[in-house]
Amino acid sequence: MEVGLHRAAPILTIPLPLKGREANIKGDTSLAKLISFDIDGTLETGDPPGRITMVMVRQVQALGYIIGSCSDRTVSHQKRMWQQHGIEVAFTVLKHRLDEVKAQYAAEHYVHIGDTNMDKYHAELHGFTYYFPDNSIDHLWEPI
Amino acid sequence: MTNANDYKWRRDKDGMGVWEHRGKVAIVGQGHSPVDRRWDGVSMDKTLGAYSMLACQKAMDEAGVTADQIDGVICCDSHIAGPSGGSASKWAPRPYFAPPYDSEWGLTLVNAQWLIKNMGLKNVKFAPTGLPTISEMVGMAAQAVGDGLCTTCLMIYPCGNLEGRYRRGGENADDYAKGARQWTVPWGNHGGNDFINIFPHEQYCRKYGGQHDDLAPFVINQHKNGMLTPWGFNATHGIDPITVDDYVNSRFILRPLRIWDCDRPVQTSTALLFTTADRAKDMKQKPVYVLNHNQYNFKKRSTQESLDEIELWTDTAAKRMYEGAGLQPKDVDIFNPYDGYSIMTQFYLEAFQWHGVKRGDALKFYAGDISVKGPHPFSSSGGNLGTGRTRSAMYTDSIEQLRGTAGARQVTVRAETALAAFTTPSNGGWIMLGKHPS
Repeated sequence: MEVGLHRAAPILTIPLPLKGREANIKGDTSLAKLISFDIDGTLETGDPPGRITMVMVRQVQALGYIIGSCSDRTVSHQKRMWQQHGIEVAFTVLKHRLDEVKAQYAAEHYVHIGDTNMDKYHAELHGFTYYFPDNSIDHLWEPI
Repeated sequence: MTNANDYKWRRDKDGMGVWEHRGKVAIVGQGHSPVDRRWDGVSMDKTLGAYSMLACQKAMDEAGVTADQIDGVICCDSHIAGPSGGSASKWAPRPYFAPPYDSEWGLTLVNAQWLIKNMGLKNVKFAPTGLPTISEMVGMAAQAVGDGLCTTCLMIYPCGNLEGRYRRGGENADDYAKGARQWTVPWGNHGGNDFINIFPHEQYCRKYGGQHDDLAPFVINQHKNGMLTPWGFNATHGIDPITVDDYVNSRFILRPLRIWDCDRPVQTSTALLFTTADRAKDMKQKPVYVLNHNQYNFKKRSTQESLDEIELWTDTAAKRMYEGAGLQPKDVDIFNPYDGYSIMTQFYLEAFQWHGVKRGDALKFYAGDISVKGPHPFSSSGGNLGTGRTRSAMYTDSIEQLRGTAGARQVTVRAETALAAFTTPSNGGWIMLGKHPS
């Protein structure tokens, strides 16, 4: 039997045409800020549950941030998680694919929040500002 | 109490012949505690000790055995999270709790003495200390019952996990490899098979053809089987089955090892109950007989294992097992090898030649039908990849398959003999089980 698997194309959620989001697609001069959330140990839906609640996610989205998730959870799981909470996000990517988020969205500032050294590693590797999900992130919830 | 080192129970040499207690020892009970990702540090009914007592009670209840009948307790008394696991494996320096949780015992470690005291096991006469992992303990329990050191023996394998970086604490968290570690663990950790087996796995692909991602069907099947294992972490936590796309796009942990090639550390405990074949006849469960057990700790030439070494070691392990059980590859119905990292499982499959798989055939075999309802129900337990890092699914699935009680996992092929193991290629052991004593 023949062995070998075809490598699938990189996974990146196609952004939904939400109001205000198109303005942040690369090429536009109107720049927002972008926050990428890890899930486990970061969001309240994670295992272990993290400090950031879905209410907080909605708040930061309302402040104008482009938001999405970046996790080792499968993309299908990430999408389902956001759907279950009624939150429309711009991207759902695997943890090592933050570079694709940056390639797709022009932003004034790229932030990744996650609780492990892998979050820090991939964030810094791809030019994101890394934050641990503790009170060091509180300033992000201030009006921008 | 007896020290494990004082009792010559191992079958770890070539040419030992058929096991003298073949078919005279049986497993009559098994018990799994819930499988949590970690202990939360708060729930005292979910500590490693509480879970171990629960697992024991389940195994005893399943067999219809009462506490006063237990005269042997064999419990692994070391950390699965590793002695250098840091906060993931050690509660201190955080303050302890009221007894029996006033030390590490019961929180991050469990031993026979702690269980005897807290379960009120008053008639235990065999409870050795300094015990190895489940791979060897099942052999020790079988041998101890066969040798008459005890008649009704609980074997317990606690797997603890606290918050923190699993096996990456202590010296492994240091930015510097000091002293001898500069030669042996310059990357901070060299003990896991993640590193050790990468090199021979790549040698394997070069020698026989194929590529790393050809493991995808096997890993995906482990997840499927895990979802059919009701007590496992994946099934109880609604973990999504993965697809080929999920697998081939997943993050490398250590190239080419992907995150889905690695098991998930958990907090759980498993107990098995061994007794004599004669006593087993009067117990509640259909006995599953022990046909042989073997162990090994092969000497390595260096810190890095090679494919040649691994093939020699696994061939030797298979030869010892078949000789001791008086069986051949064609006689083995259920095959539950270890899969803590997916990249080592092919070495066992080919060494034991299950379903005719020879050296270099495993990746092609994985691409065929290995589902539990198919003709080659490989690793029907789901292993660690499908149930969490319990290291016990291989054993309890084998028992259930032979009893015919595996539910949705029950294979459709003959199920009269089973091979199970938690082992690395160089170190560990196997056990052969039978539906019949001979």
